Amino acid sequence: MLVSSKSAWGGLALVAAVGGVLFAYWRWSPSRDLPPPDPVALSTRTAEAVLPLPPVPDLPPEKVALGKALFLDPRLSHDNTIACASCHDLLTAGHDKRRYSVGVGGAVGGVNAPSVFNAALSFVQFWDGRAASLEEQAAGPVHNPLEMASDWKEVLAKLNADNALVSRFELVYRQRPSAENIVDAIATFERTLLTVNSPFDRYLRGDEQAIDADAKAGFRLFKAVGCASCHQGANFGGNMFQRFGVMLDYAQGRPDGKPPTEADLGRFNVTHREEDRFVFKVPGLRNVALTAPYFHDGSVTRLEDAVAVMGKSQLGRELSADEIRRLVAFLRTLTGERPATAAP
Amino acid sequence: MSDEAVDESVGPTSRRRTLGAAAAGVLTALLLSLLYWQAETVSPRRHHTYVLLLRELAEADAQADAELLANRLELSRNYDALTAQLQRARRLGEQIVLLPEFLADDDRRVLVDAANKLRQTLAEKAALIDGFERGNAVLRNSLAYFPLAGDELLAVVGDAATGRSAEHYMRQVLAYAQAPDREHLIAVGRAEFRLLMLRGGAEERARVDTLLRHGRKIVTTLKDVDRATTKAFELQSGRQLEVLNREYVRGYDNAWRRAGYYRAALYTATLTLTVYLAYLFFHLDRTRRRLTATNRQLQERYLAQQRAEERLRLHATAFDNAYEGMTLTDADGAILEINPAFTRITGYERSEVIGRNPRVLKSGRHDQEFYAAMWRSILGKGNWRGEIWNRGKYGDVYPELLSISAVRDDQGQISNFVAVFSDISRLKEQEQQLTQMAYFDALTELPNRVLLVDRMTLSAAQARRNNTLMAVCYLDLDGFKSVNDTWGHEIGDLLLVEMAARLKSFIRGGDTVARLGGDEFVLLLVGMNNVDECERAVERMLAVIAQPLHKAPQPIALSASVGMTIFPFDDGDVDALLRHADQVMYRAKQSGKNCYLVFDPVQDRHTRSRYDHLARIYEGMQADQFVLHYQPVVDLRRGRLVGAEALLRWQHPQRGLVAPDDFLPLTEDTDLTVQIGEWVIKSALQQMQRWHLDGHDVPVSINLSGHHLQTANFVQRLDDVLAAYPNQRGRLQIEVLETAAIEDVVKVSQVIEQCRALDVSFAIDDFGTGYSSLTYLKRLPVTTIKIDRSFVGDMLGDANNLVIVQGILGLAKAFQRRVIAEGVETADQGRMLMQLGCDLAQGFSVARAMPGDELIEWATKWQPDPLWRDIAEMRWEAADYPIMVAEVELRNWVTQITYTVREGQPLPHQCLHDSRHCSFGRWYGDADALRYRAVPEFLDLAGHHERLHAIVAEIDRDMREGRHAQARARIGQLIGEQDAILIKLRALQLAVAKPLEALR
Repeated sequence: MLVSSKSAWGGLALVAAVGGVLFAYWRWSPSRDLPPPDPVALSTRTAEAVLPLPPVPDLPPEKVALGKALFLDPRLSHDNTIACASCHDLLTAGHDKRRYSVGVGGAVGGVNAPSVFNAALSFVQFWDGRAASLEEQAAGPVHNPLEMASDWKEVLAKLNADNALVSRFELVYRQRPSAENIVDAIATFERTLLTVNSPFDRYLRGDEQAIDADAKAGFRLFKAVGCASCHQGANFGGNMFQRFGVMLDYAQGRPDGKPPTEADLGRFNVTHREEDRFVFKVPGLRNVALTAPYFHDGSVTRLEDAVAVMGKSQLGRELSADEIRRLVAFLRTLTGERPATAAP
Repeated sequence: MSDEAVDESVGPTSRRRTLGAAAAGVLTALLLSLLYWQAETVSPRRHHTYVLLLRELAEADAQADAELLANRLELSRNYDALTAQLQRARRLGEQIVLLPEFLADDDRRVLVDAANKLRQTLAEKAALIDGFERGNAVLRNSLAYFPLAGDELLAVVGDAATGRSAEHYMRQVLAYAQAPDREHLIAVGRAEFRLLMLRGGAEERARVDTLLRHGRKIVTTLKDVDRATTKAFELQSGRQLEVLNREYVRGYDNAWRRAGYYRAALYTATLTLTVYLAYLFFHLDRTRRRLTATNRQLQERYLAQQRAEERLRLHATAFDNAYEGMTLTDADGAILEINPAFTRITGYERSEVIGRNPRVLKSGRHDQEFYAAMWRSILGKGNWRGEIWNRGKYGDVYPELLSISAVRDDQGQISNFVAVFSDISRLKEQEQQLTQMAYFDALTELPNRVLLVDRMTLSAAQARRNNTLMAVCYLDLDGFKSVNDTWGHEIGDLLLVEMAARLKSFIRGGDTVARLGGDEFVLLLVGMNNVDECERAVERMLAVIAQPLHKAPQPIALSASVGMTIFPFDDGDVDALLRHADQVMYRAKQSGKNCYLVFDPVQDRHTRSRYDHLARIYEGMQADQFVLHYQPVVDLRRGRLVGAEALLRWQHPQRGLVAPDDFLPLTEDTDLTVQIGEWVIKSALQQMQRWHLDGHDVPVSINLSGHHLQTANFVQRLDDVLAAYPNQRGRLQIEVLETAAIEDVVKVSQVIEQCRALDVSFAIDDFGTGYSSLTYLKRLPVTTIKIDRSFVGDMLGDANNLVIVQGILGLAKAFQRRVIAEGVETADQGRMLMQLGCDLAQGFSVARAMPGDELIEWATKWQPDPLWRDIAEMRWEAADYPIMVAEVELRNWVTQITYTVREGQPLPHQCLHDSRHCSFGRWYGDADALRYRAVPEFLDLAGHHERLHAIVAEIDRDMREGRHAQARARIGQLIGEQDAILIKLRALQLAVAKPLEALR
């Protein structure tokens, strides 16, 4: 007997049961909602050149803490001597006060290290903007022979040997350390490094007493003489490139009279476009009073001098001492509080 | 056909089919999976994501454009938003090349191209906006500073022309800034030229330079900014996005349509499969039903075939295993088939006779007429049956019981003959053996008494006819008893055989030597002419006998005593001749052995001889050689002595203790019997007195002859004797033989009546042997009846005797006589008697007769048999007696079978196979017996009885087929089954018994 009707009915019942289960699973399984559209950034269009500092983003504390640990971890360098914080000292204003930073084995870099504070507000990183994000930036120094002089393979080997650290990674990322999650953690940490509550921000929020008359005059001057053409937005800059020496021809000599270096070529090094020669990212001016020396080459140590250089080379005018004094008074009101997460 | 065979025959094909089906199933599953997978490729989620992406990108692009315009028109003075939108656009632009996977390759290529172009456009746009930002910042600064620089110039300008020129220049520049067209540009150039043409001081010059520098910056930068702005808009990124969007929608549409095809295909495939499955189900179900039907038919056919085979096998078994030889021939008589028994009987192998005519077996013992009659019967009646002598392969002629049947076909024509025959040589031999046993002595193979008598009759007739003499010599070996005692019976038998052979060789033809038993031989010598010749022959014979025998362990010579009587001088019948020869032989023996005496047919010889005997008996009595032994009479039920029978013994100095039967018959009807009787009376009374003095009173019965009773003053003398023993009054009983009592019933009755006055009671001895018991019982005023030992002894072996005992007991009860059973030799007999209601008994099972002084001691020690004790408190009603009869009949039947089997004789045909019709079975099935149905043992009997018959049937078969040893081996089984039945019967008897009290 090939098929008894009993087994045939049994088979049919089995098929029906399986079908029913599958249908029920399909019917009552949690529906996968379509992803909502990204929140569209509200237009910040305003006639005012500057904007108040945005609030510190609310990021996962564990990830921030892990990022901070990595930021302070010298194992990211070849000889375990240099951490991110070595050049971007969290105890100062997020920089190292040197003209050029010192890397592994005493190597000296070619540009002044910008502060890590408020770096998150910059649209690109590095003076020449070669990193489109904080994440891209974080990988840079690790591989730079003049800085940490290491590579991910070496770094990961070291970090993976640290069980405590590995378990923190597994807690935050559900995976072991990798190039991706290391830079993600560091970038996350860096996004919290905003210097909030500066006197000027308080002023913007309506506290007329937050800054003095000189500063107020300086702010008006800041806008009037054209500083605010480039140093605009929430970070007073950091959202555009500009040639260093709009009104001067940098190619005919640096302000200090020396011939231009490769670093002086700025964005040209990235794009190799002629119009990008000597073009740099316009740095944000928040905390500027604390981040001497100034400019990409750290060539100026006094803020007043830097303001003067800016007036001459960028605005094509000689600023008076009084104007400079007022501008500097204004610039000092941009100094905010040390980020909470930067505290030791 | 076995299952295995089925598997093997279709195995490979079936395996291929299974593999094919599996492959088809897998392929179908794969096809359906493929279709489903293809139908499901267009993921709405992915589509939505991509559409959202495109929309976002468009929005970011549009926002960027808006911000660009806002900054260009100074509606916005910071680039945060612009930068954010550009970054967003860049980020989204990177994602648009990640096209959804469901798109067709052609569409994908188009889309990738479009996306890359868009990215490129966006990058270009970003670069342009970068340039715009830079330029716009510079322009804004210069425009802001330009009037200030003009004011600073005018502050130091000396002449009005210069001031006008400067103002004109400033106006022209600002006008150009408002409307940057070629006309205004030319105007700016002219104004600049005018200003350069002016002459002035160094400070004125420097301020003009500053003004001009800023003115030129404004012009160049404005141009740059405008170009960048225009270019950015001209890139038409939005339009490209639209194109991308459209292309994507088209691609999506294609993909969706393609998936739709697969869905349709999937639907079709599923539908087809469903229809196919339905068809398959229907088909399978039909096949299954057909198979079931076929299977059932096959099953039936198979069973029928099996039954047929079984029958064939049975037939073949019967044919092959039949004890009878079987022959199957065709119509012409040619042998078609024989069975193994044929070969066994005839010696012919199958191959030797197939095709031949059974004529080869003819022995030649039968004449033509025999065979002609045989064929007449076969052809006429269809069969023939009879004994026939045939010849075997090796020439041996044997008798067989042959039956031949003609087999006729449908047309009535003879088609075959079937012959069945059995070798009856054994039967013939047995016949002969029986004859031998009947007429010859088994040990010596000499004629026995029967044949001797036969021969004597013949020879006597012959002698009378021929006028010759016939000598009858009775020969008894002297001292043969001591030979037996010394060397045992086996040697004795050997010597007897040797002697027999010697005697056989001695006689002539016509003479006969016979053995009568023991060491007694009789020689019949015929054709004698005178007495001398006879005597010489006897003397020769004695000489032959006296020669040493060789079969003895040591040479020994025996002599013989011979008594001879010569016919017709002694003209008695055969028995008388033998008796006479015996008598003279006895005398020869007494006269010194190893001699012979010739019977003198003068009559007084005989009388004198009897007188001699009587004289010796008298002498024995006088010499105090007579003693009385006492056999206890007991009450079986109460287990106590109720009396004793005094039995006469002759303590003979030579012959030892002689039983009364050996001498008393001689005294019959003589006065000696009276003397002996009186001696007995006196002795018994003396003994009773002794017991009395010892403190025991035992009633004693004595045996007196009828002659004694009828003496004239018997009663008087008895009274005299009794007077001496006043203590024994009422204890003496006189036994008289039934035969004696009925000789003169009137007289004996008188005596009995008179004795009753003396308190002497009477018993009839050997009751039942007198044939007319009932007639006389009522007339004889005896108190006691003693059942003859012959009935009691055979009571359990012969139901007739049991019935007689029952009858006597019934009679005794009716006439209110006490009954004593004599000769109770076994406990079983005692039990049976008790069950029949006879409580008083004597016999070997109680005790043998013993000297008087041992009786008391015996009585104190004696314990009744446990069998009797068990039923001491029970009684049985007459209605239950058939149970006892059934028991006896069963025993009888089994004993009979056992006996015949041991003797190697065929079983008597007494319902061997039918358990219902044997006497036990008849009782069992009888309506009277049915009232025992409530008794479990009664019901158990049936099974045992069936088994008993089964065993007997097997024994019967074994016996018929000559397996005597096997049959004998079954006897144990038979007895066991019988005992089982007896136990059940016994239990049944106990179950139906009533308590004793009820009887009383």
